[in-house]
Amino acid sequence: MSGWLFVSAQRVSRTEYEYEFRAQLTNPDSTALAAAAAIVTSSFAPTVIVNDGTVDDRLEFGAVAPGQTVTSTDTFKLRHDSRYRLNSSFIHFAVEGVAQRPPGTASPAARHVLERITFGTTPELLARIRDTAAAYEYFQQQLSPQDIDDSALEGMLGSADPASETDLARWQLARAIHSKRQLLEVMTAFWDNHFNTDLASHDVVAWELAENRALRTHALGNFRNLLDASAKSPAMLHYLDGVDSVARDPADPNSRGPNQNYPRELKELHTMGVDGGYTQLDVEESARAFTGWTVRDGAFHFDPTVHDTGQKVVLGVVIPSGGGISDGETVLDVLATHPSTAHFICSKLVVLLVSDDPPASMVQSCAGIFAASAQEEDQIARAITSIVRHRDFVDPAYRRVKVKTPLEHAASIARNFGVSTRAEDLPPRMVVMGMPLFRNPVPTGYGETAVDWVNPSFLLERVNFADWASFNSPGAGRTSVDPWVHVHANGLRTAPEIVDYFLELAVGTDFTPVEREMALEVLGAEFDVDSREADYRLRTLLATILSYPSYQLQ
Amino acid sequence: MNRRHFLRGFSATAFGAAALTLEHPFGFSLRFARAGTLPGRVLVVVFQRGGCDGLNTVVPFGDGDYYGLRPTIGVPAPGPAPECALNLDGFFGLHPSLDGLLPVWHQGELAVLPAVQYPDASRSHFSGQRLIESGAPAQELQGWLNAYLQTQSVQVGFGALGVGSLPHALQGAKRVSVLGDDVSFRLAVPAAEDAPLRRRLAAAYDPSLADSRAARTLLHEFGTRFLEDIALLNSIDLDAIPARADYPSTGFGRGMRRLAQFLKLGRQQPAFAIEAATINIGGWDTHSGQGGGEASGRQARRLQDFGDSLAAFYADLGELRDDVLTLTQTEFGRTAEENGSFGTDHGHAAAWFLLGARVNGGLHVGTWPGLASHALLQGRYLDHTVDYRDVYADVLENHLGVADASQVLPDQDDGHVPTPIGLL
Repeated sequence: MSGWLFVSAQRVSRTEYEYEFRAQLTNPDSTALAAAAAIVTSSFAPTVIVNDGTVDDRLEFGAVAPGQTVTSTDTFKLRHDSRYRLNSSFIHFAVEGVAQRPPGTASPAARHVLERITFGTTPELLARIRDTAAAYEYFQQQLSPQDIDDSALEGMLGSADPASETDLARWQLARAIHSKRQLLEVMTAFWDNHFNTDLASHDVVAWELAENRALRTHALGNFRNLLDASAKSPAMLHYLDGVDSVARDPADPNSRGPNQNYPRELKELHTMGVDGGYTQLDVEESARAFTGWTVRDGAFHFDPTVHDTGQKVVLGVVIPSGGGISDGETVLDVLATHPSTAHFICSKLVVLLVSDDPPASMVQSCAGIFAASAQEEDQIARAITSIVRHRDFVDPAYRRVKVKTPLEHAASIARNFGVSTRAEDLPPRMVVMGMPLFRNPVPTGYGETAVDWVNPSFLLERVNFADWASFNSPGAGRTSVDPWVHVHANGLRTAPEIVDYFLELAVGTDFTPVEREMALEVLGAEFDVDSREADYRLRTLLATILSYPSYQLQ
Repeated sequence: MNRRHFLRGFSATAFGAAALTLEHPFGFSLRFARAGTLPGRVLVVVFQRGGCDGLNTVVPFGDGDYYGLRPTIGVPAPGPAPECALNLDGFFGLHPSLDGLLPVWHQGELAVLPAVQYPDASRSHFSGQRLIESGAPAQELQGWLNAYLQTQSVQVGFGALGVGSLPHALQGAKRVSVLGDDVSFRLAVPAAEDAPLRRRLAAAYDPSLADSRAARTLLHEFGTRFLEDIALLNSIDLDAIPARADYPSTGFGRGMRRLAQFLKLGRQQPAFAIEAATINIGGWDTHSGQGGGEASGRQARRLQDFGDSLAAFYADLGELRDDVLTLTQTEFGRTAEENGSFGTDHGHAAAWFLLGARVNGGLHVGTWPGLASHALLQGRYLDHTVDYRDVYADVLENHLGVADASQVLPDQDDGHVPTPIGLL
């Protein structure tokens, strides 16, 4: 900030005056700024920055060429108590400039669409999908995963099913990183978390695998089918005690009876939400409906001999006596089409795809589509489309406002820099970052919002992960970012060229001048790409960028 | 000036408060009360997540209806067999796996609250935990311990600490630290890169560089805190502080050991002093196979870990027992009657404990409602006799020195006035 230009002064009370200024900004850097802005703050109580709807604390400067000085297009106002000296050293300007984007990459809006419907952009996607129209065309293709060739991934995974917990987590991570059916993987991870089960509750890897596959089959399909897959999954039947749920024997006071664990979480967490309008009686009645739903020979089995055949009333719907497996099916039917379910599922989808603070208009339009397409095979695809195609979806207010979960963090690093990992070394890292896959004991699943993940301990582990991925020794199947390859392939030589290239791949234009400055400092002004220590400096650069606050966002 | 101390001093002024309120993305409001910290006082909150069954934790063996409701999982009345309850007063007994707490009971430093809850309680794990950690009948954006920290104008060195996670109780405008129960708080980078990386990240995470995005603000605030924590913690060796007790080799036991080390360190070096800490122990959602008094039962094994770790922590604290109050809580108790899976379902009143040298040891029952079917809430649940907000009021006013608990717990929409009940 190089100066203030006085505009006006006004006395507003016995002791207070308001002074209006424009500010002047000089760009000392060698890089042109496409746009610059500054936030004004005061650290002296008698001087307040006016923020009243007509003026605010933000100043806009527009484009600033290297070495150029520009006057702000708008003004800022100080309200000052004249009993104190007005001292400009208490007025602070936090300046942000955006460097001109290197030609030939995705626009911020296109990038936003990609970041939300995939596990991260890739260099290839950024080069190919430049504008919003192309991004929406990509989205449209993603809605039909069966038409996307994913043979490269299948070849990498091989034909053998994962047999251990680590192997299963690796399998899921490799899909998130490499599948061409990105939206399908995003939604499969969403549903697997929504219908969370804990491998530790049954210790059968095949059941978690089967559940994950069933959820993937319907991830963009019909919600009732998703419910069916979850309700009949041996993993779920063990995890929430369905296998223990049997009709009470009136003749035997010590007989076992219906178990409420699954019927309660089914309503609270899988369908209606905790405030969805069900009662304790609804929980008890549906517990009776699910008696006899059990596991035999490693698969779902309905045992009519322990089923409670009496009449049940669930959410006002009478299930007549004499039913069998159809009793539980009816409960799932009622829940799948309940208005609270449409609202609850859409709220979670909007939180996943848009913002931690889901805009009501998006939730409402989604819930309308969800309810209206309850009988459609592509119900979820339609619900997602209503969100992604919503007129506000690409609004700048929703761009890069979501903090990545550890799964998204790990997958995005591999995708952003084209790492050819088979993810064999990632599962233990997920445990350290607080998100062991298939092993979450809490039925709510992992949180999807910033407050769930941002705290000192998790940030420490993310920084450690960034450093690990940047310095990991390369090898078959391992996760090791190779900055050298990028630098050579693109003929990059100077520190600014290299820094701007990696920032573009990592965060697009969403970085602060300080983040760029620190990145330049890692390489040093005299950086020589042919020197012996170039590789070490480049890896240090990556470890630094991947640890930035910008990089935690999507 | 150390940035953290600067920011803290800053936020304690009225101007700083206004600035924080304006810019805070979640609209947290800072609450101001007369600073009341009694120097050195610490609150440790242990949350039993999952809904611990109170009736088999503090066993009402003298209640004529108890064994009828729990024919297979009832804990036998006190007797010579190892699965019998440990007699407290001829009516209540501790589960035998809580034998580690018996010496504390005999010292008169264990308060036992068999029936704690709040009216119209949630039977959802998530909502129940959020409500109890909000300290109000509606879920607040910030937790009650964070609200307490905000009332303090003089900040204690390290502030507050979440062991293993940042629970809702500690969430809010005041940024607190989280330490893993097992890991050292260090960057795993080459020694030569450690200081430069931390310097660059400190510049990148500077809170003044955050913008209007809530997530970005959160990242900068916690990022700055984590870099400050590393700098502080790299200067000390927690493991050089010896434990004066044997802890169970469990996650909870290690966490409690870590916490005791930290509390002792804080006594030696004011920069590490804390005024509140939280820690979790899970595994209480015993819908099936809960077990009774026998040591092999699902709940018994959790109680053994819980009780032994607490007892070791208490012994390890030594003279700090005068200043460190430990409160245990859980989101709800469970159904009075056992279910068909030899377990219990989500219920209402639960058993809470307080440990500390200033605690009025003994049973704090209120009027025991009994387990007769007409006395059970909705015919299914033990009713509560103590509102948990009154427990908080005791802790806030009589341990932490807050003048009026309602300044920390203001939004009691149901009209309840949090009032101390003589626990301290």
